[in-house]
Amino acid sequence: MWKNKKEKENNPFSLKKELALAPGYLVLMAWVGFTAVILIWVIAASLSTTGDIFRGTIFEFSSGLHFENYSRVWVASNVSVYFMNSLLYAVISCILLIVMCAPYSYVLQRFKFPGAGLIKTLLAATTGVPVIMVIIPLYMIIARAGLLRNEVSNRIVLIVLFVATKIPYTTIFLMAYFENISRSYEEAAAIDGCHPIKAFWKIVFPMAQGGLITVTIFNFVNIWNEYFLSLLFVNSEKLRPVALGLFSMINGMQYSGDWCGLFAAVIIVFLPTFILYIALSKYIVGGLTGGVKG
Amino acid sequence: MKRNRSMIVAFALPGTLVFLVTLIYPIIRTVIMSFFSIQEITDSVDKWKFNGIGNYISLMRNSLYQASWINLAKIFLIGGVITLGVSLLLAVILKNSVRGRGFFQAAIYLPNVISAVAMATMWIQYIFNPSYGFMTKFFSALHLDSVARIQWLSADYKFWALLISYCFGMIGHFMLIWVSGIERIGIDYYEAAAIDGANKVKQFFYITLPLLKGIFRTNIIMWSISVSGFFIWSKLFSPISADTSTVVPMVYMYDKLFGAENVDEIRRDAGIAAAVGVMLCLFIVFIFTLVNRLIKDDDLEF
Amino acid sequence: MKKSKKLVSLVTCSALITTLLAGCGGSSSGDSAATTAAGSAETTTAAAETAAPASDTTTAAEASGGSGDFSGVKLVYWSNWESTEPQGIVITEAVKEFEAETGAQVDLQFKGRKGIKEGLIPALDADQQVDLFDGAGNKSNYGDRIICLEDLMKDNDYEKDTNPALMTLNRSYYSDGQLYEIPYQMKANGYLYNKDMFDKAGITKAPATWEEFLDACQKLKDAGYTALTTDDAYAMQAFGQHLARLIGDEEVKNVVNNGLWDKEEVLATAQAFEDLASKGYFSPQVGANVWPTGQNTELATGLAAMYCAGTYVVNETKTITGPDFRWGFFAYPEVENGINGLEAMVIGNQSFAITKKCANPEAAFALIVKLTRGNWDSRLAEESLALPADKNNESWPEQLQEAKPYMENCTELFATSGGLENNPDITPALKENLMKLYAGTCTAQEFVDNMLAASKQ
Repeated sequence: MWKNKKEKENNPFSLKKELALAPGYLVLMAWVGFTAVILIWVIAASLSTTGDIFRGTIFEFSSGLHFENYSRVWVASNVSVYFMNSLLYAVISCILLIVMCAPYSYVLQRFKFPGAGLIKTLLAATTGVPVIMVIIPLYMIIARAGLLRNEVSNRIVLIVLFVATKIPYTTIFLMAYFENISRSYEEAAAIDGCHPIKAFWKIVFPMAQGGLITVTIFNFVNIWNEYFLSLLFVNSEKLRPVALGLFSMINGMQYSGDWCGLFAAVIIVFLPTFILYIALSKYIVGGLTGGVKG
Repeated sequence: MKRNRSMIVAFALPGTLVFLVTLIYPIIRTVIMSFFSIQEITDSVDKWKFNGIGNYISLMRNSLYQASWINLAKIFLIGGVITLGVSLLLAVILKNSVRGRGFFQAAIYLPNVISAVAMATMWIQYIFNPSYGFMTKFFSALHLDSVARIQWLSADYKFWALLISYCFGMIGHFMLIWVSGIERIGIDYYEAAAIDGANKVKQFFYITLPLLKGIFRTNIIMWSISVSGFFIWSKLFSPISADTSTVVPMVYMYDKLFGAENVDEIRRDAGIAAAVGVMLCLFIVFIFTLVNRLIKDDDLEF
Repeated sequence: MKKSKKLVSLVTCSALITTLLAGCGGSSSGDSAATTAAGSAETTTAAAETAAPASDTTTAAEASGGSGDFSGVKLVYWSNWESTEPQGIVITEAVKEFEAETGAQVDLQFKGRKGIKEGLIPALDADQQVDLFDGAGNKSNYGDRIICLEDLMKDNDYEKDTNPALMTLNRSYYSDGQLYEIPYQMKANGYLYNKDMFDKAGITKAPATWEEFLDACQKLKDAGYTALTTDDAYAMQAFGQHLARLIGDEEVKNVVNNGLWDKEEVLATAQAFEDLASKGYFSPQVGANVWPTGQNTELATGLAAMYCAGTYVVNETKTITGPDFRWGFFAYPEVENGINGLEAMVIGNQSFAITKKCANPEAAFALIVKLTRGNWDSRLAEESLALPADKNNESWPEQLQEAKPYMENCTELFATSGGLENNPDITPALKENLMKLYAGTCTAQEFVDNMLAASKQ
């Protein structure tokens, strides 16, 4: 599933080549091995008991596998509703972010127009301001305006804020990818009489695919795990995203001593983002390789 | 060029508008607040008391706040070299058409997706545990008893334990950025270089690195953004109240904004918190400007 | 019949509001009260219906000094627990009963600890409706956003059933000395210990003085046990209470706020702990204990005998200890030349408060009474292994029985950690150096020097 078919066909097995890569493999193996240890521990913790976690006997499963940790978390919180909400918020926000930030980033990187430098610096400055300082004043205005009383407007507010708070990061991130795309494509398109807006969407935008996918993965994971914003802006069970629903539960579990449940809840939050990564990652690798030449 | 102008307007306007409408007000408010003495961040303006640069002066004089910036600088510099270096190494290895690349890439990125609460708990309760932990077991199996005996979470090593566990996760994140950047370099460059007799190391320095300049610049900026928001790991490595080896500006700000735990009379100061926010913001602007000066955008094309 | 009931409830409702408006002259919520009443008139029928079958319980509740008829009243209740925590489960049930009995409608929202700490003030300041909430002992946190409860307490003859020490504590949080928060889920701080280990080591009586404490440590050590452990998060508690025994908590605050670490009592206290460390009473890994490592991997698993923290540890570790673990508790021992004794303790509580936005404080208070008195208070204590708020509730959790006499005899209140955590700017350095002191990697003199250096601005 993870392998890139095209690549496989292009690389017939050759012992000499593989041997040259041996040190690389070794590093990768060690790294992945350690990651595996970590992940197995987390999964084992979610299937064991709190006692085993703190006695260091987590891998023994002396009392069997405790799948009820998962069912307990699943039943106690309205996970299926939370998932749908998070999915809705994250997918719409990610699409809006790409549609808005890719062209924004492109013109900021490519053209020197009055205010471009200032905008860039402002964007960078914004990423440094702690999100709490940004969110609370906005909350005061939005809540007073009564926008949180209605379900639809509440959802719109959430999505707008998810998008707005990620604009600076996404825009700055994408600049480097546009920087590396030769201007000759646009020049050629211009000679052919193609409008620059069209040239961007048809030619430049697809070329930045690796960066677009990467930033979308980051944005998705970020929005999926966003906690503070939803904590303030969501007051109804119906609108709760996963992060709010389960992370507040996770916080509580530390104090009620339900650590195995905590790990189960974490795995439940984690799985969808992981599946998304698997689905998207093949577009980072491969993609347009070989097609782009100077 | 007229057409370009219409494109610039069409492309720059929506982003700038949304950005200005939503974010510029809270940011300007934060900047102004930093010059006032204010208890609650939600207090109306008539409760603000002008304090000049008093907030900044008292912050600069505060030894805990100084410690928080020293920690941040250490995380930024040492952690930055480790994270960006190792992630680039891993990305380059992956680029060299290693088999099962998708699998390796997924496995390295994976720890990033898991919530920090679980990851930090795992590091503290398992990897660094002094009696049954991974470090202890691993190094005693190698008969490196002096290393095995290190109490990673004691005052002397806690910062390093924190740094290692934080960097471990971030390496996956930056690896992904490098990979998506390297991917843009056509194979034919390397083929041409190989024909010219350049070995892998030379190829790295003469082809990969220069072509990655833009990504490199972005990564430094991205790293400074991640580091300035460093919070949850510090909180988990020193629960309830901070300690000097793990405190960072965000933790300091949080305690000023919402009140530190276990103090009988809770003292909050949104003005000080705003000043911390402004300084974090200046830190990013400084890095951003510096990096853009040092690594010039010289229109490298390929 | 339904119709008349609706009418009656409407009348009572508006009557209530008028009295309230007359009562609280300062309340500016006249408009919102009126709208709430009008808006919720429709819901009254539904509420009345549910109230009808529950009429038996209503009388019972009234008999126990509880609720009245609050049909048509709508309350928004923010809780700092999670719906899945034992407290959350009990509160959910209690609220349901309250609704059935009084006809009130309660919008119960579990906001979690962060939700209250970070979200409540912004919500109130942004005019969101929250009528009552519970939190972690709010300690003047909310300023004039919450209302004074003295009158409501008098009207309900509430005070007589709460431990007076806790009333004093909660009144002390406000400069006017009035009560703004109703305490529940009490806790006491001191040493929690493993009774089985004490028995096996031949310790028959919980230590009351420092000599007896040292003796107990030695006996535990001789029996092959680790006598003491702690976690970084609670490192301040033992040292702070020790120092407060010597100089009182006000003076401890003076030390931390003004950097008076060269006081001889500070050195004496540091030497006492250096002594404990050098005799090998502390766990060998104590210096590396990041909460909850010490409490969970050492105390709860039966590797260490004593842990200086609050009674909440019992609840936090119950999934590890299991139900049969025999817990003991003793207050911080008296020390030689000390100025106070076992009657001076660190105690605390969770608390309820009613916001200024609340249009029906009577109803909100009735709900608080329901949760902190009689049956539900007892259930809360049992399920969350905490101390009950109602003095008449004899049913203290088995694990906490030993804390009872100390709590009842407590007449002097120490600030948190004996005042040692009063200065958040110095706490981090203190925490770090205390962990070194406990681990035996720094001496008493070095501790004092380090703290002097850290206090220099």
